[in-house]
Amino acid sequence: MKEIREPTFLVLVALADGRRHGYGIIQDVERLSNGQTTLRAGTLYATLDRLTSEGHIEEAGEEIVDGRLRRYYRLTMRGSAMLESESKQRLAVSKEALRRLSRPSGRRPRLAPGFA
Amino acid sequence: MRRTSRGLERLLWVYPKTYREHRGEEILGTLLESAPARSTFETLRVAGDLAAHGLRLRLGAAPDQAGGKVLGAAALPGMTTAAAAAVVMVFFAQLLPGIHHDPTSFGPDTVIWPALHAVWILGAVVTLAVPRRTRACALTCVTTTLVVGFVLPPRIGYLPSDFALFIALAIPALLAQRVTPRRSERWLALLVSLAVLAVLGYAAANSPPATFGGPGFYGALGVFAPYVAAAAVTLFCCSFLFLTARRWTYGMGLLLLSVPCIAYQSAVEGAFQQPTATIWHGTMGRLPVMVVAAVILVLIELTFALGVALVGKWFSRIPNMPGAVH
Repeated sequence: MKEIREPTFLVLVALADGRRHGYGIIQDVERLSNGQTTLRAGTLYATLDRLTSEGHIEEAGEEIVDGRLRRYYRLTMRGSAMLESESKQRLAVSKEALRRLSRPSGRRPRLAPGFA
Repeated sequence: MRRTSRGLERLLWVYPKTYREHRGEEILGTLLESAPARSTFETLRVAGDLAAHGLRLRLGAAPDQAGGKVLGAAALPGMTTAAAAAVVMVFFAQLLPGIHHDPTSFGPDTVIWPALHAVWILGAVVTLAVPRRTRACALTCVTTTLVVGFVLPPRIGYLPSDFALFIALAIPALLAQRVTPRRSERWLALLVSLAVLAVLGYAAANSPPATFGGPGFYGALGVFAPYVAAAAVTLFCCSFLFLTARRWTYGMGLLLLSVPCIAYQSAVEGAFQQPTATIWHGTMGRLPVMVVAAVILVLIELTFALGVALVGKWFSRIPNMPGAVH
């Protein structure tokens, strides 16, 4: 399976619970990443274009609010399946990392022989 | 707010027409919604981000567009071929008896060119071998470019008149862009490479004999060679800046730039040994296949540049875009 970059993953997560428009996605991505990832418009629309052309998201209506066009996007079945698969994989890796860290030797680096 | 809106609207002209018709209002709406939360600096960054996205679409260099696919597909073979050609240059063109100007002298021809090529080969190999995000390599590449571009030319008294200089300067800069993890560092590498090109251009214009193509470039085709190389270097610097960093997108650039350049250098040096002869006579007794390859590859380079221009023409349609004109 193709590697999913972090911004793409966050966009998919932002759309997981329903349709969102561009600025809504930007806000949600920032919240999801605790402010670590800030999507700018060029990057956002490049990601949306790619996901649309790959069939992972689709347009879901548009409306005019305060004279500005809002176009909404939502996950397709294919996109949902990919997000689920990717999330499970990341969860498995995270669980494994926590399991290893919970071992007594996992919390600190071992000293090289001769330095103990 | 109205001023901001007008400014942003103007910025959208960087996008192709079909894309702007489909997405323009939507992008503008998103920008205006987020405008109150942005500082001036952030607004500039957003503008830069939009410009990069728009240019990438116009150049046809997005990963799902033809230009991006061509770059991606031919890159790794290109890198390998270019590295092999550089090895040939070092071990055959520079060292074979009769090709070297004076094997006993200790000067630019015996020291600088092999050293530059060695640096380049090393850079290519290291970049292939090491993990992507390796700042030390990037720093080395940028430093090499700076030193070679700004320190050496005035000290050696004359401007070495061949394509290899472009290669020696451009490749480290491109490699620097390849390995640097941060966009700001890639900008630095780009600015350095462009500055070096400017310095070289100035030096070429002011060094005797002043010819259209610069010293050493003559003949019907040869005079255009530096300009083709400079244009290609600039094009690739920009393309790589906008493309997602992929290891093998670089190879295509190296193939298109390096092999013809190195082969041309070989031919030009041959012509220098026989001052009354043309470039083509100067290649006799050397590696004719390199010359044939040079012509073919220069044509490929020109064809590629033309192809990119056509694919990314300003009003090209965007594939797989809902609402695009098909």
